[in-house]
Amino acid sequence: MTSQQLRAAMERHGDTVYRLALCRLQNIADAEDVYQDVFLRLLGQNCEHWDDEHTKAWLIRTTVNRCADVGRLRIRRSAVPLERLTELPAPPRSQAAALWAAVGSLPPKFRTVVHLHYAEGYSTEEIAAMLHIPSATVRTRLHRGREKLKRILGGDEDV
Amino acid sequence: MYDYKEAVSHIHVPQRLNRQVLAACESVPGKAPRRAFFRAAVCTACALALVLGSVTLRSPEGQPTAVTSDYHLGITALAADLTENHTLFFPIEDGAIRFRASAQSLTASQGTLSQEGDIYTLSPTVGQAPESLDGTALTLSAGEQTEVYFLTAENARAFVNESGREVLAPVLSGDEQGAAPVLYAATSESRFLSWPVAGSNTVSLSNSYGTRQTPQGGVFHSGIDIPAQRGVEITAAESGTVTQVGWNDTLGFYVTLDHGGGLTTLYGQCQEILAGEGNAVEAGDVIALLGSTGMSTGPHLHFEVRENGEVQNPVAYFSADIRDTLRAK
Repeated sequence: MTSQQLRAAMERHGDTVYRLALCRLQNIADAEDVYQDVFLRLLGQNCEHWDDEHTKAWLIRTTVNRCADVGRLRIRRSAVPLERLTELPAPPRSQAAALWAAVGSLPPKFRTVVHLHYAEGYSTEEIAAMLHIPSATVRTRLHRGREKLKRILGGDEDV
Repeated sequence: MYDYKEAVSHIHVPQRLNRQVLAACESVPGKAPRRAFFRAAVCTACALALVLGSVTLRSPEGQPTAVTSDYHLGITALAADLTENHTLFFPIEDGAIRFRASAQSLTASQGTLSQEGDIYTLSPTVGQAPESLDGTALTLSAGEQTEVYFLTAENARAFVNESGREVLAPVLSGDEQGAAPVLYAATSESRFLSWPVAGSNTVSLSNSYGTRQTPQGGVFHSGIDIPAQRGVEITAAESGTVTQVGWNDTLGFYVTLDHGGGLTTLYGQCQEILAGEGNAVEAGDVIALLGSTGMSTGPHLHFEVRENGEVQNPVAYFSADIRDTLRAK
C-alpha cells in the first residue's frame, strides 16, 4: 500500500477506528496509540485487491484486538467525557454525553458490540464475522449491554 | 440509541494524528510503534512471595491442593473431567514462566516452549515482555484427552490468608502497590463467580481482604467489602443451596450458600435476607438486600468465599472481564 492509499484509507475510515478505540479504551492517549498502530499495520498489508468494506472490516477487527492488548494491563483511568472529544460549543450536550458515558461504563466486550451495532450500523452476523466470534455470543452481549444501558439511563426508553 | 450514533458523529480524528501516521510511514515503512507494557514496582518481600508462591487450587472433589513453586498443569491433575475450574498462577521469573505438566504433547500458540523432563519453560518472543503471552493457548493432549488453557496477564500480589499461608491473587485497579505481573491459566470451561452487587463496582481498599498490620497486631479480614446504597439487591454468586440464614453482632444479618465441591459463599452486613434455608438458588437470584447491620461503619456487602471451610480471596474467583470493571477505593 502506498502512502497515498494510506491517506485515503485514513480519510475514509479514520473516524471509525478512532471512535471505536476511544469507546473501548476511554483514554485519548491510548486510543491515539492504537490508531497509529492500526494504520501502520495496514500499510504492511497486501491489500491491493481489497474493497472498501473489506478494508473497514480489517481495520475494525485489528482495532478491537489492539485495544484488548492495551486495555488489560493499563492502570484503569477514569472515563473520558464526550466534551473532551468534540469541539462543539456549550451548552453541554447532556443527553449525548450521558449516552457516551453509559456505553463507556459497560464491560469492554459489551461496549465493543454495542458501539459497532449502534454507531456503525453492523448487524449481529456482520459483527460476528468481523470479530471471529459466534453470532450467539454477539447477540447475548448486545442484549445484556442494552439491558445494562436501560438500567443506567433509567426510564423505559426503547434502546 | 440512534442518538448514540449522532453523539459519536461529532468525534473526529485530529489532523495532527493523521500527519503523525504519514510521517512515520514515510520514515520507516511498515513498522508499527512499540507499546510499553505496564510494570508495577515489586517490593523484595513480594518478589520472594511470588517466587515461592503457593496457590490453592479448587479440584472437582473439593480438595484444596496447595501447590508450591512447582505449578502443576496437566491431564493427570484434571483426571477424567475436562470441565475443570482450575485457575493456576504463574509468577514471571527471568522473563518466562515455568510449570510442570504431564502430557504426551503440549503446544503453545505463541512464544517459545522448551522442556526439561516434565518442566516446561514458556518464553515470550525475543524483545517482548512476558505479558505479551497474554492470550496464549496452551494445548495439552494425553491419549484421547485434550485440554486447552488460555493465559491471561494480570497484576497479582501475595496475600496472607487466615492460616498464615501466602497465596497469590490478582489485584484490582487502585490497589496495585507491591503487585507484579503474573500469567494465569484458565480453561474455556472455567467457571467463575458472578458479581453479587449489580451496579456497584467498588471494593473497599481500607478494609481489603487479608491480613493487615495494626498497632494491636495482625488483623485478618476474611472477605471483601463492596459499598453500595442500603436496600440494593444482593444476588447469588453461583448456583447452590442456602445453608444458613442468621444474625450475629459481627456479621449482622447474613446468609451462606453451598455451591457444591466444597465451595461456599457468605453475604454479611445485610439489611434483610430474602432467601430461606434449604432454598435452591441460581447464580444471579436475589438473596438479600444490602445494609449496614452488625459491625459496620457504612452500608456495604461483606462477601466471603471458602473452600472446605478455608477462607479464600474472593477477587481471585471472578473472571478477568469482571475484574476489569472493578476498582479498589
